[in-house]
Amino acid sequence: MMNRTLSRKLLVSMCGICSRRLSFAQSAVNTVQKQKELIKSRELEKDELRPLYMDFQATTPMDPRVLDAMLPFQVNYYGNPHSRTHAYGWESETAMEKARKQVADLIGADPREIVFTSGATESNNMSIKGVARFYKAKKNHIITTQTEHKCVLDSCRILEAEGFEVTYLPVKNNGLIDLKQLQETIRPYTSLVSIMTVNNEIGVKQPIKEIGHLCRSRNVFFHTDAAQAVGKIPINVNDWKVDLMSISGHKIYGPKGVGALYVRRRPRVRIEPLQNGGGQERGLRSGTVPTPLAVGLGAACDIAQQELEYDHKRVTSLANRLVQKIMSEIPDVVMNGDPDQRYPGCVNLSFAYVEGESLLMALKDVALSSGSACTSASLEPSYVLRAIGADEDLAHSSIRFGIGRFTTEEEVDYTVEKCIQQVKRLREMSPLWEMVQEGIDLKSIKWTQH
Amino acid sequence: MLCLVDDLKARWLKILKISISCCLGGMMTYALRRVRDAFRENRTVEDPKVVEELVKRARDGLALIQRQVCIGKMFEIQKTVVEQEGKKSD
Repeated sequence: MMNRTLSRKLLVSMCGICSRRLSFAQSAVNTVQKQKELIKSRELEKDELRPLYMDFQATTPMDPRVLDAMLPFQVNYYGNPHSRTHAYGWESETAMEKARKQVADLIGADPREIVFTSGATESNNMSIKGVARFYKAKKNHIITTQTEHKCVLDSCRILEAEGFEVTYLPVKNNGLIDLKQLQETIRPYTSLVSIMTVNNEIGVKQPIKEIGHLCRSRNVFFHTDAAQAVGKIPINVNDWKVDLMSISGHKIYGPKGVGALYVRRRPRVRIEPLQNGGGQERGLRSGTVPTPLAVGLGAACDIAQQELEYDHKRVTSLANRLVQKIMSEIPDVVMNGDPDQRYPGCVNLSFAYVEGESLLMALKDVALSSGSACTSASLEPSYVLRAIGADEDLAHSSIRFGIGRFTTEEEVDYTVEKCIQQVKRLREMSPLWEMVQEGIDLKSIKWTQH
Repeated sequence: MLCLVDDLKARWLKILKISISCCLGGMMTYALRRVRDAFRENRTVEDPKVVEELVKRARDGLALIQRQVCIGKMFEIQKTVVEQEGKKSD
């Protein structure tokens, strides 16, 4: 028998849940309509303290060494790298080719296999649409996963509208794909498999080497979105048998607006270009290569190669510190994604009985995210968490902590302290938490609409 | 060799002085830690060519830090919560 106070609180929470469920149905029907953000955007006051930055998966600050490499090309060496008739062009071209080599060296590729783009989104679009359209006469099937970045899923959706067949492979509860299922899904007319190396929301690392070997044995091209992986884990496109790889500049302490696409030359991968024009970048991506940005990307890759081991060791230690402290102080915290096959710098935790957006608002001193930046405007729970089978309530309670090169122990400790404090405070206010404390099994309650 | 060691010590002191006056925040903390760890990693190196190469890298690194600190000071922004607390405790 429940007392009056508790039953009143129950009714209030049930109304909240009912209205939330109705709004889910509404947003599912009209996906184009933009949802109102719960957290209102505003600029910081002059005297206001800046929040700590713990969202390294969304973007990274530019390394001062990268800016130092770029500045001469913003100020003095402003020539067009495709100008063949004067020193301005020649020096710009030399710098661009040096950057190309730096990118290639990081992933074990030949410089001639690197194409500069505007970012990983363009690289993903180029790979998926380019390969599919070039080989469509004989092969019209593409395989990807349900946890890919939005640009990959959207590119596949466009191809479906053009008449291609796309299989969206499910993932296991730990976020990893089932290799056997992938093997069974590949058909004689499959042209491309696209699976990301490290997931941007839960940090899970897919078995890329095994996937690459499988695809090579079945004569299928393999593309991987390595935006979150490049410069953070060792990558070798030849060992992994990767045919196409997308790279993002602003995820590896480089500038925004630049990325690269690795396109294998042997065996040759042909792609239909998305952008036509003067034939730059081997005809695959026409347009003047932005020399300062390309130099910045090259410098970022060079630094990442030198600092990879050091950064990885440090990020692992900080991530372990964060997770252990939080989990030792607060019960009912779930880490989303495989605990071993992951990049340690991306930690996605679900705090049961606490609403994710409420926790984000409470942690106003820390810049965090509840999911992908590309989908953060929506009130829908993350599709990645849905794909790994997370309960809807836990999916709404998730926070992504991003740790990077410049994160300090003080920042991690401050974040942990505030997180513990706020989770405890929000749980004190939660009627569901109160019910759990009293030993009531929430799953046994039949919620009804009124 | 002793001259090189003194030279390196002088450069390390310069970096420390810059860190006290600069505003790069978390990046300066990173720079200090990275430079200190780099010194420790290479302290047993004896090959003169390698030492010369490392000293050259240290000189270039210091010049880079000085340039970037100047740029950082031109575009100074608000401090973070942790930086403010660190300043109060100094």
